[in-house]
Amino acid sequence: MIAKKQYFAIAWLFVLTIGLNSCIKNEVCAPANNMVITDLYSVDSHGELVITKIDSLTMFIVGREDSLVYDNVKNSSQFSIPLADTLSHLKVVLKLNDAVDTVWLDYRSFPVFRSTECGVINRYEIKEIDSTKNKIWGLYIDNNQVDETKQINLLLVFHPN
Amino acid sequence: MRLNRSIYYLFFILISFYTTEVWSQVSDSSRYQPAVDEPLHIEKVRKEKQHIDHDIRIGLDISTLILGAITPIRTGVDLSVEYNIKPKLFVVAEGGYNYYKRDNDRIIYISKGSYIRLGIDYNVRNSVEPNDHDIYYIGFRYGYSQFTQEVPYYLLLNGFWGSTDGSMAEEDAYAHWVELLTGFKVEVLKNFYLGMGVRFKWFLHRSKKNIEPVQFVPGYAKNYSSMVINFNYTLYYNIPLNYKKKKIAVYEKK
Repeated sequence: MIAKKQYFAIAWLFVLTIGLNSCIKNEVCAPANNMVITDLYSVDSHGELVITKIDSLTMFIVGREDSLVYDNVKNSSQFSIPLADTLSHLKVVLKLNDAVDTVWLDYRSFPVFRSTECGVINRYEIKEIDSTKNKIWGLYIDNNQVDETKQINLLLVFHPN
Repeated sequence: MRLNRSIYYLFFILISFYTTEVWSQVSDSSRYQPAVDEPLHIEKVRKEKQHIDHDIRIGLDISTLILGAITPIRTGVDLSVEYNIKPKLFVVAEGGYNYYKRDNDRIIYISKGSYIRLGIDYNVRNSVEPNDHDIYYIGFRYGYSQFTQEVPYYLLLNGFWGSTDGSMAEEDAYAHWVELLTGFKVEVLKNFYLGMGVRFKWFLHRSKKNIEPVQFVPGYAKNYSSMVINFNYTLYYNIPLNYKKKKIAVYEKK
């Protein structure tokens, strides 16, 4: 009987060691996203929206040094505007081929706790947008939530001509 | 002659009367009571110790202590008290205080608070020897925890604008849950037991606030899913209380 109990005590310590080690768990963390993803559209001869590419795209953000985001990027059908965690308003200048337009974004950011492994991230909600109408014909919100799902947020439509 | 005989009879009567009177007084003074209608025995109540298998067992969850010693992530104390109301049925009260802190370069998270668990254990094992007190049990618990959690620091990574930091204020929270459990308790030394068990836990309800999902509920565990499985390793001490005073009627002859 005593020997049995000694065996049990040894087994108990063994399982205890395994059990404590099994508490360690790795978690996969989806990367945060602070980019407002914008697709470029034009209007075809039938008056329908079609995805288009622009020959040259340059973008910078007003009010920040070294704010160049895109520098003469060729054949682009999409661009992204990086949102700041400490701001709620952005002024973005776009050089679309030879035309220059300005885009304004109002948004709010809110922290989201994910886990002790993945930390806290910010998500964003686009509240309002506006733009000049040089090359840009229209700018629309498709999805106002900017988060890890990385869905298309804005639709930018060029003039038909 | 006839006179002498009369005197003799008178004397005899007087003596007899006197003797009866005196004897009667003597009997009264000694409180003699004839055993005609009296019971010969009287009833007397006496207390006597009798062995009944009652146990009060105090437990200390050593896995919390070991984890606290190995790593500062989780510290605290988890205690339990159990008492068998029937030979195989135990009422159990468990309680404690847990402090949980995760600290890395991106976040500091703290959860702390106390909890209580109430329930029963049923011993499904039949003892093979008179002093065999080993237990294989199945049980049920209801748990309640009141705790706080906070994020005093977090880091937001932003490739374009640069990283910033922030904090989330401390908030009160609570949780209810139920547990099904099973395990062993083996007496390795006299009155000392080692226990090992597994617990299946489900939330009944819990508060949901800004810091969500809650990472650690004292008394419950880390919270990664709707059901969690915990192992517990407990050291028990059985308070020697295996007797009970019982009134027994004993008839004694005086």
